[in-house]
Amino acid sequence: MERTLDPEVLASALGEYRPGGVLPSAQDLLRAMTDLEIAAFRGEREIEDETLATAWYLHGLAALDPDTPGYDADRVRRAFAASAHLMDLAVGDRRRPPAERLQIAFAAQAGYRRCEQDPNATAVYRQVRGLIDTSGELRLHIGTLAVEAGVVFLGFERTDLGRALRRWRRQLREVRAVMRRDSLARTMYGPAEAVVEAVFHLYQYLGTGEEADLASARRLLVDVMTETAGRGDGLARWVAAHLFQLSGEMARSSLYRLLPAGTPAAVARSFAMSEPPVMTLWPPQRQLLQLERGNPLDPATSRSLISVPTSAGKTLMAQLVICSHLAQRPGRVVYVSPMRSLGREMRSALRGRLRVLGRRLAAEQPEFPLSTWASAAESDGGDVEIVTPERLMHMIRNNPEGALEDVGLVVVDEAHHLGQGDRGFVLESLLALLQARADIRLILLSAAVGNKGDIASWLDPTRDEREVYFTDTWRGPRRLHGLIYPNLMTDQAELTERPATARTSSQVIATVPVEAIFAVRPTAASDISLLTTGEVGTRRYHGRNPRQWRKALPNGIVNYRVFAAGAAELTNAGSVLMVVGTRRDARNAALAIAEHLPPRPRAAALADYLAEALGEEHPLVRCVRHGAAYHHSALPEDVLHAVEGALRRGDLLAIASTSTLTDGVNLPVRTVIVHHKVDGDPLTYDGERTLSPAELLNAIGRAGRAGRESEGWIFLTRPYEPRPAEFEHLDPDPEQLRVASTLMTDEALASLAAAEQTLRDDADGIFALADSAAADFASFVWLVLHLHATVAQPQGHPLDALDGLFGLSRTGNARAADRWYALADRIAEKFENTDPAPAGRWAATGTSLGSARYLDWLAKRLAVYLERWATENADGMSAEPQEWPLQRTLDFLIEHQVFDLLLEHCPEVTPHWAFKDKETRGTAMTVAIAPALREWVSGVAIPDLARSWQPGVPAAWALDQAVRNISTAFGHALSWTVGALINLVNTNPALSPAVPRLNTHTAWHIRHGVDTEQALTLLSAGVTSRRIAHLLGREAALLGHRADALRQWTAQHHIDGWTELYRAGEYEIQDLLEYVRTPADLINRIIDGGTATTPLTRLVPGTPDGPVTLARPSRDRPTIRIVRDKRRVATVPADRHLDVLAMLDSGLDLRHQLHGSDLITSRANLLR
Amino acid sequence: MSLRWGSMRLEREVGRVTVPAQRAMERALAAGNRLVDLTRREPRGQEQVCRWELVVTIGQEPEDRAAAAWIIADEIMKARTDLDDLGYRLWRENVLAGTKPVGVDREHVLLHASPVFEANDTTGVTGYVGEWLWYLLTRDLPPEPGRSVVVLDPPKSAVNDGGPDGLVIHRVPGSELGFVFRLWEMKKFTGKSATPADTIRKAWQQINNEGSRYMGQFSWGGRALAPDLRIFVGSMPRQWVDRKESGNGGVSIALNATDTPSAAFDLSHTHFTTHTHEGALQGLMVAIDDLENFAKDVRRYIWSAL
Repeated sequence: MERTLDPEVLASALGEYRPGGVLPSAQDLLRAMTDLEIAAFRGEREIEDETLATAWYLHGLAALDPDTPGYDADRVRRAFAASAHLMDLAVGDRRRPPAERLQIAFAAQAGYRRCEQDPNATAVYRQVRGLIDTSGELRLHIGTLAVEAGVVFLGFERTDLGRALRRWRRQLREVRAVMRRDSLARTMYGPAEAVVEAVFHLYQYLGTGEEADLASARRLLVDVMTETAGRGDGLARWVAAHLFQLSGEMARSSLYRLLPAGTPAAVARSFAMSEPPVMTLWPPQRQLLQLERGNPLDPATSRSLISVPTSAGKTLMAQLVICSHLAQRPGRVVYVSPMRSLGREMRSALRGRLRVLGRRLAAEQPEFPLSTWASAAESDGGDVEIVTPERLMHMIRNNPEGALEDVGLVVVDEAHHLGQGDRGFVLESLLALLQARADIRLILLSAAVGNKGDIASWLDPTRDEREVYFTDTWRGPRRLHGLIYPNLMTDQAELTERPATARTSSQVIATVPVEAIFAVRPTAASDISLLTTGEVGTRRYHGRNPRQWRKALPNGIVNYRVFAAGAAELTNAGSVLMVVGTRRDARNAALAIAEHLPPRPRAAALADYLAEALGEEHPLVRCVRHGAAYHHSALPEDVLHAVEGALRRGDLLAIASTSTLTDGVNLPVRTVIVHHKVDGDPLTYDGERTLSPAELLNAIGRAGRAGRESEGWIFLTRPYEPRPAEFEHLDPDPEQLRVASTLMTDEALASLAAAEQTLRDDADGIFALADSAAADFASFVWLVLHLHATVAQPQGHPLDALDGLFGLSRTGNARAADRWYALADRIAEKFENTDPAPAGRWAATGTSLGSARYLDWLAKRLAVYLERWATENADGMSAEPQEWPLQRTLDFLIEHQVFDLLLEHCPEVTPHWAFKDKETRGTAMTVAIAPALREWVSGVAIPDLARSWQPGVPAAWALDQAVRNISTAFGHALSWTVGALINLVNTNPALSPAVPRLNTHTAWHIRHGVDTEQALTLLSAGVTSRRIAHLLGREAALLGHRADALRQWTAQHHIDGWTELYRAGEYEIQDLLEYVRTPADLINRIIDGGTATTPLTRLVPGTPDGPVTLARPSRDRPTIRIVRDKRRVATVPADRHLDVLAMLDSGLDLRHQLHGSDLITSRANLLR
Repeated sequence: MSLRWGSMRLEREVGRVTVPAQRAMERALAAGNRLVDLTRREPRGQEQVCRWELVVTIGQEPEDRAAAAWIIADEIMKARTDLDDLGYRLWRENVLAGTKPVGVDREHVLLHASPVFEANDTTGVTGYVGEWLWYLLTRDLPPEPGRSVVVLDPPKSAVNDGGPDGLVIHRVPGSELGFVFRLWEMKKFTGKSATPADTIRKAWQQINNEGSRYMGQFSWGGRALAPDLRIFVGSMPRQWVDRKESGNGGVSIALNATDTPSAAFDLSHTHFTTHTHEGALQGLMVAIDDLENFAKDVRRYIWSAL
């Protein structure tokens, strides 16, 4: 995508330069623009009249009629782009009257829309939102009403637009009543009235796709342009002309027009009418939908790769592919994301879309016991599954046939992660298995990568690679690059003389203030501007001469704290993400940022929730109270989910995150500060982890929130004053962005060499392979062999499936590939010599082969103990095998030291249970795992667990460790292995049929830390709070409510009941509302059938039928109330709350009637 | 030569219009009911690069000044109400009868009278009246041979955003593009600071800046005009930056009659240098005694129905 800070683009927009003429030269304009960028970074937004005039000229130059001789569409687009960029910078100039700023804003928005930088139009709207008058009398701002309507429309913020239109249309109705006219046409109010009505119809059109609305809007706009609506309102004419032009383009980019022929309208509606609303598509999304060959939305396209930059709207593309497939083909869809935060994001976005589509998202299911997919008809079933690669792989391992049964489409997001870290091979091997299924459509989405052609050819060797991949360079916000470094303010040093002592001679100690300096360079050709935070701390040195100040004395401000101070400073302009190397760095950085921020009331709800979940003294709670947080994989899922939500809503100002792609934050922010060494960084010491180009690009891609701001800022930290060349680190060479298999990394090849050596000495050596690429490869080979062996009519060579591995198919490193194949042959020999039954079991565990063999051995022992128990207790047993309850199972496992054994023998578990008495130079502490696990499962709150596990250790540190151990050991490693173990025990062929089985949900209880089936149901159904699930679960268990009865019982409490009885917070309420929801499909009913019926609750007896209004929920009154004459007459029940809210937010003009105990909603009559 | 309406001054200070609307209206009617009928244009600076005209009032009586204020008030309300005959009638009949409408009728009149005048900011009202002076004096000029006005917009009804501008487009058969336009920058000089020459200089220096927005918007707003005019209007900014002879500039100054200079616009070509062709620059000076109070009179006629 073309950027405007480019002399060539500006020269083309400006036309031939004439010295002494009206317009500046391209170089002068570029200089003015870069100066403005720097000023904007400083928070100064004043623009010179001459520069603004240039923006208006460019806006006018773009008005050239296409019929004009010499019309040049490219030049027009560039004029728009340059003008919009300048206007965007000018719109914040508060010296200018509001009316002028509104015009500047509209010009910027129209320009951005016309040069295909659509999200920036929304960002501009956010800057002038406060100037939109929806409360004052119409007559006092009739002169700007048309511009206001244009600005709020092009902002595409549905809630704001709906509110403004409701208010203005009501006011216009009142004006018509006063004037005693049906229309205000040909009065002073006529043009603005027509623009407001046109905007209303456009809004309706984009929501419902009804062509009549588009026609009405265009007719009204023509009335304004021809002055049929009234004379003397030049601004309205200008706005109308733009909207008229844009209406055609919007219609062409509306989903209703772009979805392939035959796609039901419900698909477009599912995007237009759910949150976040999609009214028009961004350029790459439009292009994707218009692809003639290999269109991934075409059900006939079997293989496709969508490779676009971060912030190009890739997630929405995935949603379009999914919803479009569901509407056209039978069978379920599996969405695979290696990024857990992206999975969570997709889960919340798709839920609303599917709701409008009349489809469902499947609930999260436990790994053990593993069932086949639940059908959509079942309470926890659905049409779309959102899984990690590990999860889907696990399903295939355990049930090769059932796992992919009825699956019509698999969408793999962030597919370039197949080249990333430990988890990359899981994705690569999963893709290899999926590749073998020609009957399942496979659509990959990836960031922009250098070798998309290679991936495309691998994906579908039968077609031209350019028909298999789709790519586009467009991305949302512009980016400003900078470096940040600590600087000694030597001229302000204070010198202190220390008198001589018996052991030392006299000394001078210099106390030197330190500042964070931002070095900013808007373009590669720009001069570097330096900006400072001012003093953020001090350092002390020996000696009075700055040349002596090389090594600071202890206790001075360290670099990360300087950068944190800089980060805090930047929160004034929007949210900041600081990318750091380790979890500890993330925590420390967030705490340091928080020190510079005042308490933040907007973050209080999150802080309160986290205090309940983690304990008030947990460091995360402390920093969140000031609007800063940290994010890494050792925090519980519900905590990460809540933190991400708060960042998205703007409740949080700053977040520090580890750099690991798969565990990182997937959300955009205004500013990214990379406090991490990057590949090729000369400062890196041996063995230090550096950011790969892909990781760096991913971090950079987070800078700039499309629709929030038109520019993102990205800073790389440096420990000293950098050289200009160091800016280049922020522009990785595209060639470096090649996706390569993790099998071909130096580390993997080293592990291969080690494995070769091991196997040379001992054929059983494959069971000793652990925690390496070779171990993962061996497990996969074992699985491939097992799958081949269990197929009814095996075809081809057992190892043929390995050809599907990306690394082995297009490696370019044939020698290494041969070695991997040779290793596979050795594994095959071992497989051949292994009893098929255990061989199959080992393939299914999902651990290393060594751990699998150990688990199998342990399972056999436990089966023997079970048999023995059954023999000893034969009297009370029935013929049918019973499943022990959870507590009995835990007793049994603890009695046989199972948790200690797993900790000792499974390398997957061992490192994840570790405690120290203090963080720095601490001594290891032993915390017995079995009692700790029992406490955790019984629902004990984390602060109490921390005290119990590490009495006497400072609370903050004890909480930090408790949370980390729970997340990594109970949340992942131990729950996985225990699940696999119980599965092996319960299916052990030696176990007599009548012997009781261990509780199959034990692993799921361990993962979530709850002890009732009901709590698990709630947690599986999307309730993320362990606390509320535990409380509700315990009570429901006492009352005997299960499945649907549990849902109804929960719903009966309603929001006020949850708050009063269980102290439910905002986060918990949202989850519970989703859980109790009865799908109602109100919007489709209103559009298609005219009316929608909602049963009501808490009806005031004796209320007659008739018109009512709906009062939206507020902090004091959290339910939706049905109101007549300012009195509540009924309430929307909890299970309908979200659907009614979605209906109210849909932008449809509605009227409501009470009929008996039902609410009947229909569309209000349209004005024209 | 300008009129001396000094006898009005004392009465005006008590905030009343001494000439009732009815008499002002009758005087206006008697004179022809157009501003041009109450004024005279005197060509000046014919030897200069920037020629200009001085507009002075003709009559000597307070009623003449009142008639001019009435005409402007009436034109403003006519434009605002347009097809809303009831609204216009309610305002006019009440003002002329010296009565005030009540209830919904009052609300009705308020809707039209409110913009600019409800806020009652002297600077804003004076600037607004200055725009109407220029507009009415231009609109009612006798036709010129060889060219006809095709676009002349009335001032914006309500916006006070610091950029009063005007534009006239003439059809000129035989010219390069078939049309020519002149972009006007309008200023008021109320004698509170500097000199008229300073105001004129600033106006010329600003014409590119202030005019850019007007042209930028107008070039878009003309999309529904006849095809030849639409193409011309759409390319106006291009003509302007290319310094085509079709683009011209003008500066209009409204000022107190007592401040009228004998020479003006003589240095305009040194302030506005981008356009140098013959006739590229033009000046207009409208001399009204006590301009600010004249603007207040206009407001009083409009507001006296409320």
